[in-house]
Amino acid sequence: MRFRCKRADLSQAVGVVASAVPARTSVPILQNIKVTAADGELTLTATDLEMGLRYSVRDVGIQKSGAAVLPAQKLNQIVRDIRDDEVKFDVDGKLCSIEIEGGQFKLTGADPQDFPQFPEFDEKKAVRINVDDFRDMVRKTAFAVSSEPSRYALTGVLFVIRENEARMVGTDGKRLAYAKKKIKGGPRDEVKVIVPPKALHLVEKIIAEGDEEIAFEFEETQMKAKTSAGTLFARLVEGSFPNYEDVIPGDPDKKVQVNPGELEYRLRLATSMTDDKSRAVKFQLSKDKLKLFARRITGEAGEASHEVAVKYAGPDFEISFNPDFFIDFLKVVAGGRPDVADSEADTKVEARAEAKADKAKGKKAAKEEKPKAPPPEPVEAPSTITLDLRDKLTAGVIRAGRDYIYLVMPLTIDV
Amino acid sequence: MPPIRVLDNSVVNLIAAGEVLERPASAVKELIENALDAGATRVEVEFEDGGRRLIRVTDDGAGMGPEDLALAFLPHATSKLAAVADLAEIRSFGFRGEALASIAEVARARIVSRPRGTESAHELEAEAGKIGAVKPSASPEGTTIEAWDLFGNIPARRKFLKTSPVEAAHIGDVVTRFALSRPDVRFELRGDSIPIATMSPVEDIADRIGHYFGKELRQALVKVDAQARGIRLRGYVARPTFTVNNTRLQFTWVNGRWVRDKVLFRSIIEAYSDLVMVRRAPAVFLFVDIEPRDIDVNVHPAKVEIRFANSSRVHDFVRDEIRGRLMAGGVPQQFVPKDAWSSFVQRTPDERRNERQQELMEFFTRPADTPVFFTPPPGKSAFAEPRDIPPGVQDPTPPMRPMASGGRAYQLHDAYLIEEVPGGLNVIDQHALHERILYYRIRSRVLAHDVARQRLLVPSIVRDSGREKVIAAARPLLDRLGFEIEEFGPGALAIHAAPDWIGTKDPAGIVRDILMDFDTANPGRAADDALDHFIATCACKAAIKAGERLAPEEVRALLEDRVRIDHSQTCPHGRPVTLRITLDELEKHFGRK
Ligand SMILES: Nc1ncnc2c1ncn2[C@@H]1O[C@H](COP(=O)(O)OP(=O)(O)O)[C@@H](O)[C@H]1O
Ligand SMILES: [Mg+2]
Repeated sequence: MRFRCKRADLSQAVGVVASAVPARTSVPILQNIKVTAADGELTLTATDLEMGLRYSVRDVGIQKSGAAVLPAQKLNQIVRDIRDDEVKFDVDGKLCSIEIEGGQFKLTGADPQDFPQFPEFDEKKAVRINVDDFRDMVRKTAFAVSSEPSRYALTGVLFVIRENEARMVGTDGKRLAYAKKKIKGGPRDEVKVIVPPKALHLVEKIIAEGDEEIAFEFEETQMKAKTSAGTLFARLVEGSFPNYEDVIPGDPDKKVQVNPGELEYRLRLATSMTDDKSRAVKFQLSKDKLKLFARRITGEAGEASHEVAVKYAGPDFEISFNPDFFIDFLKVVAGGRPDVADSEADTKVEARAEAKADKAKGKKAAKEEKPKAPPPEPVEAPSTITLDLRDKLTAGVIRAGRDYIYLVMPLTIDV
Repeated sequence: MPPIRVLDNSVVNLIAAGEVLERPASAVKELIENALDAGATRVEVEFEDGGRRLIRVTDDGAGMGPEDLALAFLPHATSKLAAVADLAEIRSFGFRGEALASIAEVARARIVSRPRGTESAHELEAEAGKIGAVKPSASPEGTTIEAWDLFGNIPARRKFLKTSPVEAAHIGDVVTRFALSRPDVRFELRGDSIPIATMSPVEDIADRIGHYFGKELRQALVKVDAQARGIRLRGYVARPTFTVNNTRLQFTWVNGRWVRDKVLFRSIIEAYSDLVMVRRAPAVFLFVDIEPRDIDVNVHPAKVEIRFANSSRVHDFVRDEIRGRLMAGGVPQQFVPKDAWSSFVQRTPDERRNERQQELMEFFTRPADTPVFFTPPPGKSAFAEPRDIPPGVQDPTPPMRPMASGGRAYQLHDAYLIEEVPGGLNVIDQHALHERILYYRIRSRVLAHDVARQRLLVPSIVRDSGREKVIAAARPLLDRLGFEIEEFGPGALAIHAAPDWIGTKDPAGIVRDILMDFDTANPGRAADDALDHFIATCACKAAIKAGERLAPEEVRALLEDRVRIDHSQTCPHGRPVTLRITLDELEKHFGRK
C-alpha cells in the first residue's frame, strides 16, 4: 500500500477513530487502527468489539491500494506531531514507513487479516434523524445515566424512534432526564433500544461539516449509525428499562416557576456548605419565595441560606434534594454539558496522545489542531422553568419547554 | 487384643447410615430423589428445628402398595436396580436401596403412601432399625415420608450438627439445587411452619434462576445447548459482566444429579479466563448429559462426586462450548476476532496455572460443612478485611503529615497511592484509606441520626429466598443505616430509599452483600457492636476497591479527605492504611549514608 495525503485530514480522522480504541484490552490487535486505501479514499477502522468506528478521508493520492494495521497511539502521536502539510505512507507487509520532508518513521503493524471485520451498513433499513435533534437529545439525557456497571439497563440511554417522534431517556434510578423531538417520517414499527452513552458520543464524533442527517440501522443486539464520512456500530445494552412514563407523578399541587440561571447560581452557593459525600439542600417554599438551606456538620462546619425569587402560590412546603442532580440539569438548560462520569476511560488513547502533542508543540499549536467538527448550535436558555412538587416522597418534576422533562427523587432526612 | 467379631448387623447399618446421611439436608436430598424417581410433579419439604426434630417430604408420585411398603425400610431393598448389569445403565437417582434403611436406622421414620389410581393408603413406621407392621391409613395419592429426631440415637453425630439456622440453610441449598434442575416440578419449602419458598412449575430454568438470584442475573444469562460425541451440554451461563465474589452461583448437574466436579469446575474457570476479573467468579447453571456407562456415580456415598470415563473430552467440550457462547453473545457475531481465543492461550502457562490453582483451591478448601448461600468463603481476597483482629486496635504507624504545599501523589497498579511527604514518602492502600474515611463519616452520621436517604424512582428489588429470618434480623440495622426497605413477598425486599453516602453504587448490590455478611456476624453481639460491624461492612462495600483506576483529582480528593479522620479514634479493622518510608531508610538502602 502506498499513498500520500494531507496531514490535517489524516490527523483529524485518526483522532476520531482513536476514540474507539480500547485503553486496556486482552486482545492486543485492538490497540491498532486499520487503514485501507482504495479508490482514492482512505478508510480508518478501530474497535473494542463492543463498538467500533470507521471513518474515511477523501482525495487521497493512492499509488498502490492495500491495507495496514498500525498501532493507534503511535500513529495518532506522529500525525499530530509533524508539521508538514503532506505525508507519505509506504506499507510493505507489516512494515510501514511514514515519510515527510527530511525524515521518516518506521512502524511495525499487524496482519490486516487478523483485524476484526466491520459490519456493513444496510441503507435499506436506514432510519434518519436530523443532526441537531440528535445532538440536542444526547446532550439532554446522556449525562443522567448510571455509572454503576451492575445496573446494566440504566447504564444506557433509552432511544425510541417512532413515526414522527424520537425520544431519549437517561436515568440512574434517582433522577431521570427525558427529551423528545418531532421528526419527519420515522419507522412504522417503533424502535426501542438501550444505547451505551459512549456510542452516542461516538456518533457525534463522526458527524462532519454539512451533514444534515444521521442514518441509523437497528438490529437485535446492535445499532449502526452512518454519516457522510463515518460509520459506527455498537452493541446495545440488554435488559429492561424502567417505564419512564409511569414514573412521572401526576397531579402536583405545588407549582413553582423559576429562572434557571438564578436557581443554578443560588444552588451552587448553597452547595459549598453541604457535606462532601452527603449533599442535601433543603428547599423551603412560601409565597413567591424559595429558600435554599444547607448545613455541614462534619469537617469545616457551617451553614448557607439563600433566597431565590420564584412564582409560587401554593402552601408552605419543605423538601430536600441532592443539589448536584439539579445543577446537572440546569447546566444543560443553560446550553452546556454536565461532566459525564468517564466510566470506561474511553478516550484515554486520544487524550494521552493529545497531552504529548501539547508538550511537543506548546498549547497554542495544539489548540489549532482540534478536529474541525462543526460546533453544536448555540442553545437559547429559557427564561423560566417549572418545578412541580407533590409531597416529600415523590419526585420533583422540572420542565424546560414542552419537550424536556427531568425528574429528581427527593432526599428524606431523619431527625 | 480383643477377638475379631463379625459386626452386629445393626452396627453395620449404623455405620452405613452415617455415610449416606451426614446431616439433615442429606436426608432431605435422598427423600426428594425418591419422590422424583417416583415421577412426582409436586414435592413439598417441611422441616423443624433445622431438620433435627422433623423432616417431612410429600410427593404426588407413583406411591407404594402394602407389599412394596413392607420392603421399603429394608437395606438394599430397591425397585430400581435388578442386576449388576443394570449398574451401567442407571438413570434414576437411587439404586442402592440404602436411603430409607439408613433413615430408619437413625430416626423415627414413617411412610404413608397411596399408589396412584388406587383408593387405599397404608403406612409403616420404623425406629432405630426396628421395622413395624404395615397398617391401613388415609392419604391422598402419593407418598409422605417423615423422619423424626434425626440422629437422636447417635449423640456423637447429633452434637456434630451446626446450629439450626445453618442446618436449615443446608436444606435450603438442597431444595434450590433440585428446583433449578427440575423446572417442571412444583417445589414447596416450609421451615418451622413458615413458608420459605414456593416454586410453581415453569417452562425454563432461567425463570427459576431469576426467582432465586434476581433479575440482574436472569438478564445476564446466555443459553447453552450443544451436543457432540455422546455429550450434551445444556443450561445457562452468565455474561462475564455478572460476577460474584465466590463460586456459589456455579451449579453443575450430570445426568440430572447435582455434582461438584473438578473437571467441570476447571472447564468453567478456563472458559471465563480473561473475561472476568481476578477473584470474581461467574454464574453458571449447566447440565451435562452423558451415557450412564461413561460415568461412575458410585464413588461417593451421597453421589455428589462422580468420575468421567473420558474426562479430558468432557473438559474440552464444556470449556469450548461455554467460551464459544460467551464470545458469540458478548460481541457481535461477525466481529469475533480470530485471536480473541488466542489471547487466552497467550497468557503464560504459569500465569494460567497459578490462577486456576488458586481458584480451585478456594473452591475445594471451602469446608464441606459451609452452606453455599450462607457464608462467603473464608476471606482470602486481597481486599477482604481480617475480621479477627479485634476492633479497637490502633493503626501501628500513624501516617506522616502531608506536605504543607501538597506533595506529589500518584496511583500505582490501580491499588496504591504514593505520596511525597516531608522526610520521606507514604505508600497508601487506596481501599483501606477510603474504607476508613467512609467508616468514620458514616458512623458519625448514623450516631447523630443525620442520615439523608435518597429516594429511588423505581424500587430496587433484592431476592434472597430461604433467608427470611436473616432479612428480618437485619432490617432494624439496615434501617438505621438509612435504607428504607419493605418486604416484597417471601424472601424479597424492595428498597425505596438508600443512604446518600453510597453515592453511585447500586443499592441492591450493597444490601445483598450486607445480608450475605450478616450471618457471619455473631448474632449474640450487642446491638451497638453489631451496628459498628455493620458500618464497617458498609464502608468496605462502598469503598473504592483495589483495581479501580483513579483520576488525578480523585487521588487528590482522597488524600485531602484523610485529614478529616480523627486519628485518635480507633480504626474499623486495625489493618494498616499507610506504609511510611523515610528518606533516611532510602539513603541507607542506596548506600548514600
Ligand atoms: N417417595 C416414594 N414414592 C414411591 N416409592 C418410593 C418412594 N421412596 C422410596 N420408594 C421405594 O422404596 C425403595 C427404597 O428407597 P431407597 O432406600 O431410597 O432406595 P433407592 O432409591 O436407592 O432405590 C425405592 O426403590 C422405591 O421403590
Ligand atoms: Mg433413594
